[in-house]
Amino acid sequence: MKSPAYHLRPNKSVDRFRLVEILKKLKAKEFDFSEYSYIGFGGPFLEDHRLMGDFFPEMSTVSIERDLQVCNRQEFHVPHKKVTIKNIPANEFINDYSAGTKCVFWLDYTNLKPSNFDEFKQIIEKVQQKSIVKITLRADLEDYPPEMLRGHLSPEKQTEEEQKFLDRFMARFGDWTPAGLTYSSFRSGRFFLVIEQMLQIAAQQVFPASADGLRFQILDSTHYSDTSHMFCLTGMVCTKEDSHKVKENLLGCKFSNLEWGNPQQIDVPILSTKERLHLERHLPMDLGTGEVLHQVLNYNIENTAEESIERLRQYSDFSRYLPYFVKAAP
Amino acid sequence: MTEKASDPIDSKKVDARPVKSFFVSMLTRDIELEDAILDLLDNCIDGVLRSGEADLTSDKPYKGFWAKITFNEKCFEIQDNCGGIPKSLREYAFRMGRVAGRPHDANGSVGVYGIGMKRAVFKLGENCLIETQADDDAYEVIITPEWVHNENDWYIPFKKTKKTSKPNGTHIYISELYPGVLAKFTEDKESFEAKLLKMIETHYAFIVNKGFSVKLNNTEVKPRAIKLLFDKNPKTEDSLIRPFVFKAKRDDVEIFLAVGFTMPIPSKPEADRDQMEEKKYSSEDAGWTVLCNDRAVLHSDKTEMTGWGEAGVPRYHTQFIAVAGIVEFRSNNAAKLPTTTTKRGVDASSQLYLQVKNKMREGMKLFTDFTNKWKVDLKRLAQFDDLDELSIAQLKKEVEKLELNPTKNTALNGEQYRPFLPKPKKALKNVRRISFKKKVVEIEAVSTYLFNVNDRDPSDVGERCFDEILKETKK
Repeated sequence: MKSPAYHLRPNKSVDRFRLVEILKKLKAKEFDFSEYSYIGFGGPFLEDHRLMGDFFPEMSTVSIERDLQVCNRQEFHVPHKKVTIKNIPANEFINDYSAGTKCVFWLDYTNLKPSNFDEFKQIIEKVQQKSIVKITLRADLEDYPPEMLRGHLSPEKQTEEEQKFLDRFMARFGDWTPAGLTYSSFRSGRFFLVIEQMLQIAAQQVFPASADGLRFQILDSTHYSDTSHMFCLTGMVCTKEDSHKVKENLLGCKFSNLEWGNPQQIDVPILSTKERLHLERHLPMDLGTGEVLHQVLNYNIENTAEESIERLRQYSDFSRYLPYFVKAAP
Repeated sequence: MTEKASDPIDSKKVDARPVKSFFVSMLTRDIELEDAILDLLDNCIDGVLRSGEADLTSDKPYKGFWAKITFNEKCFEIQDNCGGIPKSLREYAFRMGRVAGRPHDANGSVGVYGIGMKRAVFKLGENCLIETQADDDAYEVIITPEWVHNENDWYIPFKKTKKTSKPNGTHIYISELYPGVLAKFTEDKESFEAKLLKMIETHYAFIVNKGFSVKLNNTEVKPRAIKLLFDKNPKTEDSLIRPFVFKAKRDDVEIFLAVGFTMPIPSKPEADRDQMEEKKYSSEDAGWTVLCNDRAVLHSDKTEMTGWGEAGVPRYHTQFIAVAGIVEFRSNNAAKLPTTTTKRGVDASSQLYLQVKNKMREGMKLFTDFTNKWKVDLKRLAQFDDLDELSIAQLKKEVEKLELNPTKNTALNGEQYRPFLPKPKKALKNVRRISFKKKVVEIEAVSTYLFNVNDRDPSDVGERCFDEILKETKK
């Protein structure tokens, strides 16, 4: 199978539900999603389109897919009749895109290329006011040479190689790179912060505050690792006044993240069905969830108690959204 | 405060006095905020030169001198240790424009019009404190909103201060920022800071390389200077990769020009892919950089301003991504440098610049022709291997070892070095390039069929298709 197995990635599944939660909150605050269409890269199983159909049946959806074979597979998996499948490369679709309605647009990339940022800028510039744009990017660099961090090189050589690496990165992404980047900014546990800053710069380039027009109001930012490390940003294109309203609407929503610079990690634990059923009897709960669930299990699911408590806290937050994987014998 | 116009009939004179709002509101419209801040940095360098403490004969004449720029939601600040504004300049430095009697500027400075610092201050905000300490003086000057709005008062309050043990220098503190500036310093902080940093990295690359330290919001500026490929050990003198160089002196202005390659030229398929897919090669370093007394007034320009697309030189295209040039103008009389009042552009009507531009085109054509001749060859040129990347300072040292030829009886006499670039073998004349476009999904399908992977280079896929069919025809 060419496409990544979206349905087998629990953290991505949670991230997908965070978008649903935000949309549900907005719907409760008088957002009429019958005025919206959902546009995304559905993958072979159209999972996100199925979700949108389940929670927002009033919204039509468009899937962009350049591979004809995948399109054929999508036709087989169409979850509802409001899905339109377009056999077209994303960049061509974005070039030709003209917003007829408001939209929820998910640029669900699996890689990290300069063209991703150009397309993000194009889309936030083209969509109608109050449209929501989500982008997913890979937060790992394929050519980051980890051996250089292990002291295998002389200090001079290391500095030289680090500068070369920074120059290569700047040559590709220089239009969006933030001030003060150093080699350590690219470590895999931190690089997602750089990507968020790059997207913030890209959004500011499209909507400078000094021009006093529209802006890109951040609604959520997350990072997770199922197989590769990924970063996701969700925001709304709106006026300054609307951005205040939206922030009020999402106040207290634990699945939103309204400030730049603090992406939330999604890192749900792998639990057996038996463990999950055991824990779910104690959910939901508001405070001290990690500690309580840890006591309920009475053993560590990670190396230390602290790690186990943190992962169980994540489980408590996202348990409703975690898919069950079962082996079914014919 | 408004001013009552005098009656021309009674006084037999009409009022032609300047209006302060012209300086405050109008002059600032002609300059971008980033350029205004660079103007303040120019003043720092002029200060170093004025102090006489820089050893201009050394490789690092500005070593030990620094400027720190900080901005936030409350203020903008620039602080330096560049010698301060001496007593002799006190009466002139704050005038709107340059008046007769002002002491001569130090050699190598770029100030001409006497407007940079004031224009930058008026661009940023309404409240300004300038503290300065020189060998012979220490004082502060305060510009208030009341002063800005008072059309009659052209004198700025000045106060002597006590000399301190701090190094001599100037500290400019601006508050009550204008709304557009405040928005850039707060809501657009990330993009503005990144852009300003990049501008300092490129426009001040040569000065930072000479030892000057600049910090922007505590981030140390790293120079990003153009480097040109130079074959130090050629196997033969008639086939080598080196820049075209031209040197001249005209009317107190020294000119040094070099144009060449910054990296191996991309093959045609690479250049095409660059346009079609992503910026595989960055275009950032390509084009012309023009320096006036070490400050870049134009960086990596790819327009007609620097000769692209005129007089036989092709327009810039990504296939010329490896072609870059540097022109350096140096003079002790800044008024003779071909730059605009903002010092971030070239004076296109300058006779000197127009003459130098002829040479820029001549040199550039050598490398665009070379690129056009070689782009059909998909294999990388061996001559690009093991070349040195030289900064302008290193290049000048190498040029001293070269035999330059005089260019006499031309509009601009000087001397030049014209490299003999490698020429394609004649056999290539029997070769034709085949080029066509196909859908990406189809290329991937053929790639999988031929190579068992779907992401083989499209040119490889096309070439293999041709070779397979060619085999068939020979059966």
